[in-house]
Amino acid sequence: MSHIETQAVHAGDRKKLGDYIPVTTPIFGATTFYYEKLGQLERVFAREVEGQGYTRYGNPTAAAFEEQVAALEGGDIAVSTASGMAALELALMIALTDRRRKVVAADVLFGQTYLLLQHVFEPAGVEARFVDPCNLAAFEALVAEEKPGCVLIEAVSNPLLRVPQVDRIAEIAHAHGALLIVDSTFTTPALLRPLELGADIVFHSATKYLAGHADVLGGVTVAREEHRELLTALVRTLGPNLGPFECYLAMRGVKTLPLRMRRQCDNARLVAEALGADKRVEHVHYPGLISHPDRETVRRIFVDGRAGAMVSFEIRDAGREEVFRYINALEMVLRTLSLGDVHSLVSYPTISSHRNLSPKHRARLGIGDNLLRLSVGIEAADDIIGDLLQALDAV
Amino acid sequence: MRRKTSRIETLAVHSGDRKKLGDYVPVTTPIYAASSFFYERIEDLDSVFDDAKPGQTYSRFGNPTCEALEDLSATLEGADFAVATSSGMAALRLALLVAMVDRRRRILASRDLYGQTLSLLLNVLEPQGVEVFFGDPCDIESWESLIVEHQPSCVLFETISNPMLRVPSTDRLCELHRRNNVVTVVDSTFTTPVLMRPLDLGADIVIHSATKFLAGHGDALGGLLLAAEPFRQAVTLLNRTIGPNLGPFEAYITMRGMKTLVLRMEEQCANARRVAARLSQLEGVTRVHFPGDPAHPDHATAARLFPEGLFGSLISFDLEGGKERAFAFADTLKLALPATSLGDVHTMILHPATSSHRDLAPKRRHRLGIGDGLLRLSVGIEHVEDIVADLEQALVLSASAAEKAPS
Repeated sequence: MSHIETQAVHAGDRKKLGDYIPVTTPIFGATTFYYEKLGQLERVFAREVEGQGYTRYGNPTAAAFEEQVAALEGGDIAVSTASGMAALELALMIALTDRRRKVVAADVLFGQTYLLLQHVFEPAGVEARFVDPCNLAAFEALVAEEKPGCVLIEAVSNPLLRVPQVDRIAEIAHAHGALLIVDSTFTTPALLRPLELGADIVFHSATKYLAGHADVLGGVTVAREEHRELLTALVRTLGPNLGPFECYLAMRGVKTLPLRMRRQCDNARLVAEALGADKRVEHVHYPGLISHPDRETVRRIFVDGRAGAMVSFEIRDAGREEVFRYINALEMVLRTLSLGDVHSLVSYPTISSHRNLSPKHRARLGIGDNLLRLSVGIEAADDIIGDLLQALDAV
Repeated sequence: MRRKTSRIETLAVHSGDRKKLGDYVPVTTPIYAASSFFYERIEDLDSVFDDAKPGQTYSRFGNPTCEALEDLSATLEGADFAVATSSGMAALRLALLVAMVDRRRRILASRDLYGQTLSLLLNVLEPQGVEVFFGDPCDIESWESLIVEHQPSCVLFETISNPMLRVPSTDRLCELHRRNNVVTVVDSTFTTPVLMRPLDLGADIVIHSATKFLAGHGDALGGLLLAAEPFRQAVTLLNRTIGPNLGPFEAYITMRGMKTLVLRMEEQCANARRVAARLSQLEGVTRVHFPGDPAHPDHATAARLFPEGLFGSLISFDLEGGKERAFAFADTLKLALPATSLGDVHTMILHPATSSHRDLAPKRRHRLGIGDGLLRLSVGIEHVEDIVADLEQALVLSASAAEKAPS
């Protein structure tokens, strides 16, 4: 099972239950599991034998999804969570256990990630410092100065789609005794396998590309053997579990991940080129374009040099009002949050993912009021492009 | 929606549901699997984000199926709002974080708590700089002196403790905490709003493992946090950021379970009284812990706080012969399930020393009264004679098994 297309379809499923083997793993709704002898349950709790005891400690449907993602990421252990934010929190907690309670994070991050650091970790005595991970010299200087317990980056930044060099960042982090956490939501193992590039912990909002059908909220944290015990203990105590119904849907989604991702990336390139050729568009941010500053990094570390399926673009001379007019004129592309789904959707960072930042902070990060973030779906590229261009008439 | 005039049996069946969707009104709320929601005009999404208009945006921020469950639970508890979480532990953690926002990071907790709750306090919160002190909330005088001495920002206790089934005076404790400006966080999993409404008694935040009595059928892991208006902003902010959301499928079946909560709870409590009375007469049972027993140290408190004749459906009891006998007993049960949960329609038995409280040091377990022969029984809704007969036959069989075994 060396190819991702094969792993996605086969990993995790096919556990023998009784005499027969179901082709897909059942949805285990049960909260608890028991054995003919109580001593067997005790051995399970003592982790002397494999088995199930209580769903917060582990559930077979969740375990199947976790095994599938671990296989795709090349990790030793995966844990599914109620949301991507819950997965991030777990990752940070493991990385900071018995280490310096300090984080060096990318300066451009998903808005809620800032809030997590500010409202949950800061009160717990964790200091966070921010720096541009695409500027390796500045990054290394800050890590050397702060000596953080961990470093946190997004494999592709949200919403400006910058691509840091995960392998170099891992070297720098490790040289200064820090662990590296990578949010690989925008890339998925179909484009990038951060653990192979030296990252220590990878997490996903599985709501996005992994599940891919806009019908599951969920997350997953993937790590190496050395973090298994801590990760397992934290999940048992904090209980951020993903439900078995959601695990089934997420796993079902991952089976088509390689296909969807390939089509979405191909479509995104065509969309980026078409938008870039239109005079009404001021700037297109897409890591696959020659004009993108991280083009070379993508070519070097992404699978087949595919540059992802997110495209951000700025409408020329547009403010909030013009952008609203543009979004309302879209006929097929959905105006909603989230990303990575089979359908194309557009979001407006100023009022959604980054609305909690001050206008000044947004401007400093390069998130202007004329910036839109597009998640390209698997529809026919011509239909997507046609819709995006016709709506420009309304501006 | 809070129809205060109705009784709990009615509220349990009607609250939360019946939101109009288009022209029709579904009798139960649909399972909204959608991760995100959109509007015909983007201006509407912007207004919803501004809280200028009600609506849905993204499932981590709110989901209609979860909200139906939250409305129902808030109504039953007399809370201003509720938040559904992926597990009871997630609800508890959220409650403690909220109780400490912008306050001293210091907690006074009952020494008699669920094992993972102790683990949360000692292994997760303490390393994050939270100071944790323990006391006995059933001894109000010593509890008060601990509050005066340590000045905690919040206190945590269980309305019926796990597994020793002690019943603190929630009303008197809440009054004491209020006078000392301390936030009261109460785990009401063992009582549910059928036995007690802690917010009415002055508690600030109530949490439940909804996995237990509320869902009640052994098929949904989940938690609920309930509180009054002043905590809404902090809960909403932290919930959105940490994202410990309950899934919509689980929210639906939890709500479905809650419709029969009152019936189940009454039957389970009535069964438990008869089972406890019978157990105390049986050979091999050295002690029965049940708040309905007049000899129980908190019997008067339970009688004062709970509706007449209801004392919960959990019974703990000590068997002579220690762990070996306890295991033999559990293994010979034919009806009761030896599984790790409680509050379900079926009767369940658990050995706390090797399951819920296995991570505690043996010394600490013994100080709490959790001996190796202690078993915790969650009485279900089966016919009570069948439950009793099962326990009786297991006592006989396990006694002979223990005799045969080399000591």
